[in-house]
Amino acid sequence: MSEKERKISIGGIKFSEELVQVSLLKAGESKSSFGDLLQLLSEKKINITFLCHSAGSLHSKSSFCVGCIDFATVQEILDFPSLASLDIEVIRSVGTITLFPHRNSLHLLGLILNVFGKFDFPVYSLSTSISAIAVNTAYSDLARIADKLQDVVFLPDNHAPFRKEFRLKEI
Amino acid sequence: MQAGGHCIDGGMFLETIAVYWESRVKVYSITELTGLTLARFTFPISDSERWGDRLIQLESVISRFELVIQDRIDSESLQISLLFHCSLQGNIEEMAEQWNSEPSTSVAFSSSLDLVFLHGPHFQDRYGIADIAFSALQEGKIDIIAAGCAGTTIYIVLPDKMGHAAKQILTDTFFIPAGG
Repeated sequence: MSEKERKISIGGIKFSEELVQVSLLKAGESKSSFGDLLQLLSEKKINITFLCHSAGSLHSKSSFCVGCIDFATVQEILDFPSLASLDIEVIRSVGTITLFPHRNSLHLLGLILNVFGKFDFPVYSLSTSISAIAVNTAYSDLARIADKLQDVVFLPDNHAPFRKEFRLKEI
Repeated sequence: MQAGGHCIDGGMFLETIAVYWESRVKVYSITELTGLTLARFTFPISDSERWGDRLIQLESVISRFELVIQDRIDSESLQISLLFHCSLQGNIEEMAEQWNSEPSTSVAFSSSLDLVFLHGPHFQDRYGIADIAFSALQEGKIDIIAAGCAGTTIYIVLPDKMGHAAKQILTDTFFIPAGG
């Protein structure tokens, strides 16, 4: 099937602000838990914009994103001795590109992964929501990714700007 | 209400402060699904383009997914976790057998899983929501097999027959308005 034949219409694309992704690998015998970390983040009133978690028999892997502005506080939490047994990876300058709706079909997801692979854009993590697919990638690549994705998706003529013009913050 | 200068990405914006308080976090709904399969595809990052094509092919046999999450296993490997109704599992097992023979690639299935998902107002802009949900389940001694939180939704994959108990715990934890 040619690229043109596979092209589908979607409702929209949006970009996040600049984020930091933190990933934690927990070995089976580790006493530190991802739940402990979530509690510490909540106590510091830090919003998590994205989270994915997968637990296997030998280890579990969790990744979450926070705004750049909150990362200094997150780093202080990650330095807590109680979290020392977790293998922690920090990726800076991450952006989320969100496409919607996915209609619970693998077609859009496949097209996205294909484009990311073809042009070597990194996928740091991904999750679907009730109607959208959110992909975490390099913040500096967001505009180029949106450009390449438009080779495989049609956007409405009256599409809103990709970047949000306002921010909500709970205080 | 207060207005003032606020800067996002170098631009100036008006700031509006609204005061709102809730004793229990409101959600629009909590939904439980049972009889699900979680397929985990692990493959080299360099094969992403090919796996994109495979997902498009899988659409012909997986007519509907419930959740997809993807994460890096290490610097060279990605893992896609795909949750769907278990009646569809047989459709991809034959394909998966071929993929399993490829270098650094594996496909594994976990069957008979449950799912609860909830969504609520501005979850993506508020702190502590995931902690409330996960802590409640932890206190109820319910294991979490996988989770995906993006936008305004929280999806939690659970062991067999734990969905009903998890939904009850979350219903007691969050507030669902009448008719929600």
